[in-house]
Amino acid sequence: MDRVIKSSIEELEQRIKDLTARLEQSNKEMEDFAYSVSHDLRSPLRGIDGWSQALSEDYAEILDETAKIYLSRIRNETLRMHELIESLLQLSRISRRVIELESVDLSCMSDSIISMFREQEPGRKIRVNIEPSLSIMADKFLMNIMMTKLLHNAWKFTEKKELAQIDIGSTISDNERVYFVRDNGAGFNLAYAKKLFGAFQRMHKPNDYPGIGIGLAMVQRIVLRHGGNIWVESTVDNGATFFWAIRSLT
Amino acid sequence: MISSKKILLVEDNPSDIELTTRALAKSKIANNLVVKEDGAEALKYLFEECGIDDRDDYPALILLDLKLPVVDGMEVLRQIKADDRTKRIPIVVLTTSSEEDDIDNSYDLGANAYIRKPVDNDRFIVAINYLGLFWLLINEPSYRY
Repeated sequence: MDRVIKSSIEELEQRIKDLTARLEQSNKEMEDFAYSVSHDLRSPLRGIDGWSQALSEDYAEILDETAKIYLSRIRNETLRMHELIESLLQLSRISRRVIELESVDLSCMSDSIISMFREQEPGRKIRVNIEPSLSIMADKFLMNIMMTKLLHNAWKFTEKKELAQIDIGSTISDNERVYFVRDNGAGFNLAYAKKLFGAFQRMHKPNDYPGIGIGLAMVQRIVLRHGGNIWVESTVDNGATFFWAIRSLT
Repeated sequence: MISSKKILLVEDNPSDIELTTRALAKSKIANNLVVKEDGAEALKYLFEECGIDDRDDYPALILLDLKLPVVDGMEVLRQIKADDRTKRIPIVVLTTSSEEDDIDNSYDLGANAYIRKPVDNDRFIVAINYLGLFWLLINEPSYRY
């Protein structure tokens, strides 16, 4: 009997070793892929933008206005594709990162992110409430990306509100701490929000609120990498609240 | 030896070579531009053609792409910085990569600057303009090889 157990343990150990090796191999392949996307796709894009720019500049005298508009469209689309590639790379960096847990001061982090937004757009009047001493055991680098994306969304979607407000805080639910970022901005219809966290999914027209729809995909991936989950409450014109809990680690 | 202020561009993509040439011209950088399209050619040029009487002077600046055929950019960088004749020539890595490893390894091997070529060509021209201004006019090079 003992021998049977021993041999199945050995078998399991071997299987774990094999799986780990395969995982390492596929991670390595993904890194190589990200590298080659970064380098190989950027280069032709540079060419497209470069020669469109050369055409509109060097032949400015013989091109009519319509031709110049078309050229500028080519350049805008090129830059958009570039943004998309950069976003995919950022997503893959989040997945590749080796997580280092430490106590992260979310209050302090949120405060400095908001200060940065205020500097970039001094005209915006937004009331921001941050719960003091809000800490979380997580990877600081990833938390910074996550809070920046969540707060940037809150900042962006309250743009058309006269009295814009953002709250950063936490509650206790089922004995666990649930963190949230709440805004009173544009919000969205939850019925259409199934793909909210997917890459390049957008809930608003680009002309109303610009963006390429990568922020929440990153946020979700960061929460998942911490073994947590994220959900949202929202109604149209009444803002949105993003909640997350990192169960296994707190 | 007085520098002839020649620029060596090591780059394999013909479109990139022309865009860089155009950006240099736009920036009124009229220096003689020597182009080598792979790492081995660049090394052969530096070690067998430059610095020999009646041939060619060493370049005042090297613009180096990292991803090159035959001998890659890192190896070119390593050999230039390891050779007494060429180690003081400023090398600007000009690449599309922003991988942390590439940046760190370039500096470790003695690169003097690292520039990620912007996709936006207006910004690329500005970058080339600053780069030329700094390395050819503001920076004081060594004249001893």
